Amino acid sequence: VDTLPWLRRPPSRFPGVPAWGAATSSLPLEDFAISPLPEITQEWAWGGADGGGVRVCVVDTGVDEEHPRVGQLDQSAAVVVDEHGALTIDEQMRGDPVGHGTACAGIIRSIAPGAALSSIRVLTRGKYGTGEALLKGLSWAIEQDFDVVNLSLSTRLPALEPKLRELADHAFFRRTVLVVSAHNMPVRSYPWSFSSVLSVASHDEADPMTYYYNAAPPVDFYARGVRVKVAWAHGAERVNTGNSFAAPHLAAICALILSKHRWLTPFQLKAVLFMAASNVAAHTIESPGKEPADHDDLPLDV
Amino acid sequence: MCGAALAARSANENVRRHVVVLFADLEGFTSMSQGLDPELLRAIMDRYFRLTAQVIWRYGGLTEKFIGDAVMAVFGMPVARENDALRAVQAASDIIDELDLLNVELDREYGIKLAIRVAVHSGPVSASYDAGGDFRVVGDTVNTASRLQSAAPLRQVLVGEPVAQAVRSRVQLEAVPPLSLKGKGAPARAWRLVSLDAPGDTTSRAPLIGRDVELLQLRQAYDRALQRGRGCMVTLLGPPGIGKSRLAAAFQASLGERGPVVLSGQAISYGQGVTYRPIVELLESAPGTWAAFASKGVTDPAAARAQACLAGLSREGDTGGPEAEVEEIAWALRAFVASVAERGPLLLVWEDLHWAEPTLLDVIEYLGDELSDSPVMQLCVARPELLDLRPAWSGGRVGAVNLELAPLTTDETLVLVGELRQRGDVVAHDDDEVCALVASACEGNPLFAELMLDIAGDRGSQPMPQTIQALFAARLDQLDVDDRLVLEMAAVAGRDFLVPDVEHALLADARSDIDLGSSLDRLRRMRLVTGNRLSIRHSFAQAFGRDTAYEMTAKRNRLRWHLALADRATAAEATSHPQLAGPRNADLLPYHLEAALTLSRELHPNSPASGELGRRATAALTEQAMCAMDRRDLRAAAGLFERAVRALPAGDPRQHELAIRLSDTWLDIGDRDRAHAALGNAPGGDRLPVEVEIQRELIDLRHGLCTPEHILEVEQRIEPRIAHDDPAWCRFHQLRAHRHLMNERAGAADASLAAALERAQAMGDSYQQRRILRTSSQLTLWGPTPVPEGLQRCSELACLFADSRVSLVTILSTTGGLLAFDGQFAEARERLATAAAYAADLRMRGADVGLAHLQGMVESIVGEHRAAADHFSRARSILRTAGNANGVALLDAYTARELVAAGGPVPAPYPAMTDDEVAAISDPRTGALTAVLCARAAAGAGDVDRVRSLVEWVRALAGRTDDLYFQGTVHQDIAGTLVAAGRLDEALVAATAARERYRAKGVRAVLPRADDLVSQLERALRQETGGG
Repeated sequence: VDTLPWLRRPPSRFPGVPAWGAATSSLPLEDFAISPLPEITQEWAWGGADGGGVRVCVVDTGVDEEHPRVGQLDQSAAVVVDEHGALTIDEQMRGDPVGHGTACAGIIRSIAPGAALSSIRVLTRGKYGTGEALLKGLSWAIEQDFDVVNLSLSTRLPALEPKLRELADHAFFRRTVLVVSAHNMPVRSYPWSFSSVLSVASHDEADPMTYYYNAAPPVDFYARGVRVKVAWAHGAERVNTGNSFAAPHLAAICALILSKHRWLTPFQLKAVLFMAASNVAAHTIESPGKEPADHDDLPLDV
Repeated sequence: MCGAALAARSANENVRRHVVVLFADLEGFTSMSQGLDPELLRAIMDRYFRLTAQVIWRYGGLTEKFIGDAVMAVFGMPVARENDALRAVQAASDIIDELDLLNVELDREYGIKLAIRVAVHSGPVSASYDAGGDFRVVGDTVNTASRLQSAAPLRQVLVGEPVAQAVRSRVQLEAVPPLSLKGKGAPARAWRLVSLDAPGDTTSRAPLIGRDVELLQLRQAYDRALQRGRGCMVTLLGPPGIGKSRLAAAFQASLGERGPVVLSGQAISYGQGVTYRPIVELLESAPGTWAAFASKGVTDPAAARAQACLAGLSREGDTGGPEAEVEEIAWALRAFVASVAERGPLLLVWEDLHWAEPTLLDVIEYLGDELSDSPVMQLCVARPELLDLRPAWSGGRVGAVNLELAPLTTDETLVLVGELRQRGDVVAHDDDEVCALVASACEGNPLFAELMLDIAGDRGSQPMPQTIQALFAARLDQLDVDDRLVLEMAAVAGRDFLVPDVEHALLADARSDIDLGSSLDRLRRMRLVTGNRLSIRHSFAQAFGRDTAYEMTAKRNRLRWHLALADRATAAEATSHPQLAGPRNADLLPYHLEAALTLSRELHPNSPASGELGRRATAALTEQAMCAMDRRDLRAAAGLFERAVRALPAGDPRQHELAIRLSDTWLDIGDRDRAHAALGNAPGGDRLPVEVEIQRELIDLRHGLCTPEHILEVEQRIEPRIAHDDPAWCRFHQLRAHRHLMNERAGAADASLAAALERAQAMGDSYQQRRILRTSSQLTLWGPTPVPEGLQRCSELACLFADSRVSLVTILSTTGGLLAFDGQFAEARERLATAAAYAADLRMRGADVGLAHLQGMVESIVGEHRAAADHFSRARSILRTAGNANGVALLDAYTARELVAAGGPVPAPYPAMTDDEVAAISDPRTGALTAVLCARAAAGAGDVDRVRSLVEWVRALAGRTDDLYFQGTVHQDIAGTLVAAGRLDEALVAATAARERYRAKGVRAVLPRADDLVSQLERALRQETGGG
């Protein structure tokens, strides 16, 4: 129990939230040691930002731009099968027959209204899709140099792991931030478990801007994902739960930060997200007076 | 031009058919034709039509018509075949490929290319032939095929749902978004043909989830069995659908290629009384091991015997002699299993044991005990009800463990449901309402979850049935009507059913239009049934699936199909072809008749048909019960007789006869209350009471509740009431024989049994005959029958019972005793050793006392008194454990007698016993032996008066039995005692009496000694007289 969180084995049970998440409304997160960067506050990070100038892509079931919560898209494409049976990108394809991608896009729009939203459909069988289509669509999104890519999906197929890891590294170096939701089940899948992406699971609080840093890997952050009112297909709205909806919350916050700090690299962005996280910022704001004089670090509260 | 093949057929109007329709159409034909010369267009179209017609013909389809540039073909006319859908899909694929080749030519010659779309759909149509033999098919299926075709991508084949289901296991398909077809309400689901290559294994829908610990436990048990060579038995317990069989299968699969030989058998819910079916299945599940065992039988007589016994099981139903007995079957199975285990590790899987007959459970436990030092694992699968039937199952057995499968946890259930629902490698991470609903409603039961998902489809909002049966019923409601019909017929045929049985039911209903092959293909694909399309044997995937389908079937239909299948079974039994009259049909005849009877009574309570059906069912059940009796499977027999009684129409004269048989069975089992109760159920009638009254006495007598005086009184009361030809005589004589036996009059008992036997023969009652003969064999030893005659009878009986080692144990030990009387000691010992080996093989613990007693007797005759004392004392300790005080007293006396004969003093307590104590012993044998021992002690003490009075007492007691050998030994002992008391004259009288008894019996082994004693005494007396 006393082991440092990042040395611990991940838990197998997640009461009250989708797997990998934390029920922060009833169970406060544990404390851990933080080396402060006092300059970086939430205000510094995104105060006054609206996501303007940042290009965000939702890799999902497509996005319905007719939905009032979403609005106009910058680009809308889909992975399709051509007449030779090969996968190809149809850059004219619009719409979302399912609603899942529209839900993600709606969340991003609500937090970062100024960001330019795009969509590529890779899930072609309802909320399911093939690994090939995912690779094809994600490659396209990376080649398009989006700043932020939202992936509210994953695969358990081991054969896909190396290819996805390669793509995630590729994106990281090209400064395309992949914000990926953790699986809703206590199972390992990809690409959210890679270190080169920002992985997000759910907390169960209602504030869209509240997010937490998780010191126990493999999930980096907890964002709002429980009982979220979201846009859905055919102009509908519904309340839904899932790590799917935590990822776009964080993706939108990334868009806010990047719109204010244009040249942050993915690793800087992660550091900023860390310092501005609700559980970290609380310490850095409340604790300066209690700091030991000869020590920069905040004490480990046990 | 089309349908020429049908020209010879007579006009056959408007038949309803299930067919597969292929629709092909060219893209942009109208625009292409505009720029072409009509003659050139005609030439191109001819080549295209010829190509398609040839491909269609090649795959056995009929081209129905050409409409402009469209081609329509039908597969499944005039005769449906099970692979119509597959052939149509192959034809569609070939048309596209061959058109590519044609296009190369067309492009070269005319600079044009044809682009085609194809669709394949299936369903019912109305087909009609005109007088010329041409045919037309009409129906919604045709329209849908045409619409699907227009939605197909260029150079692609789209198939509709029924075709996709039929070919999914053979070709690779990919779902396309549902199509909104013109003129159709709901969007139609469709699949694109990806490749004609078969897809990978699709048998398991979901990975095994949440059973890691159990799998590990199974693996450990197996590894220990293997490494330590210690057998083990693991029982998986859990409610239906919890995943017992899935776990068992996963465990088997985890053992890999170098895994054990696996043999499996399954109990069924409706085959009550068919105790050994799972064993037959087990034997058939690995033909290779059976062949190896058969070859072993060539050199090994024991293996040959076991093989014959087991082979007899699977030939059950043909009446080639009596069947092997329970003990023999258990032994044979052990021999078989042990021989397989000699060659490598072995896994026996017993499924659905909660439906097993008690005797099968006995066999499995017996195997567990006997194979505890072989690398054999028995994996039993059962619902928890098994523990109600057998509370002590696995209890106290070394290497036996029960493993209860708990419901999956919430998390495990969610993962499982997610996996079951997954339709691609990549999945979105929102809460799926269907998953959530199913996971929360399925109570951690995987099958429950799977059924719920099947029913829910993509919409989770509809309310879910709350019991697994209701769920399954809802699942059945979704079936195509014809598939449902087939499934219902299969359910009536049984959990394991034969395709010809279903065919037969279809024929009986005049529904041979149904394409059974494709229907079964679909049912297999939906995992409702399992089986191989090449095999006629299929099974329901879940036992309760069969039961639910059965319950959901209209009773009228069940009745009709049961009758049809009963007729089929009867017909099959009547033919002499073993292939046709397989064990299954014979087994299931009573099942079908009985089920039909129950339904008929419910539907037509007062119909005479019910009465007739009842008599047929009774006859079939009785026959099966008699078979069970023959193999001494008494509990199964009791169950079958009970059902036979219930099946008989009220007032049928056979009722009391069956009641007595049932009572007999319970009596053999040792359940006195039920033996009486069986009679109580027999209705009163004029000719009833006598036989029933005798039976009641027989029951009490066997439980030691009657005195000989009471029986005599009963005999006197009853005898005048029995008519000359009354079957009751057989039992009356048996009753009398028992009275004689109680009075130690073996000769008289033998005579009564002979009379009973005569009656049984006259009635043709072979069961009673065997029963009487078995009892009578022992009387030759313990009665006045001379030794040569006894040996003759025993050897006849040994021939008669050659197939029954249970009976041979008694017959051989009797023979051993008689041979010892005759002085053939080596042969005597050999017979007793064989009998002991049989008893050990068959675990006949009850035979041990008798064997030890006889071995003691033989050694006593030989003169090995110490050894004799040991045998008697062993018999005594067994009886003591059993709490049989009278037996202990008798064997104490025998042991003491041998110790004295060996030259020892009379042991305690005999020297200290008072006359009153001696007189209190009621058993004549024990009393006589005890009194002799007391007399011997008195002689040693010089109390001649007491010796004399005791000797008188001994004579009186010994005279009460007609056991000549026993009388001889007692008189011999008296002589010895009187010699010790110095009364040589009286001793001579006794010695002469002994010699006389031995002579009468023909005990040649001891005659010289008896002669010797007489002449010694005569000599001594002469000397005494001469000297005096």
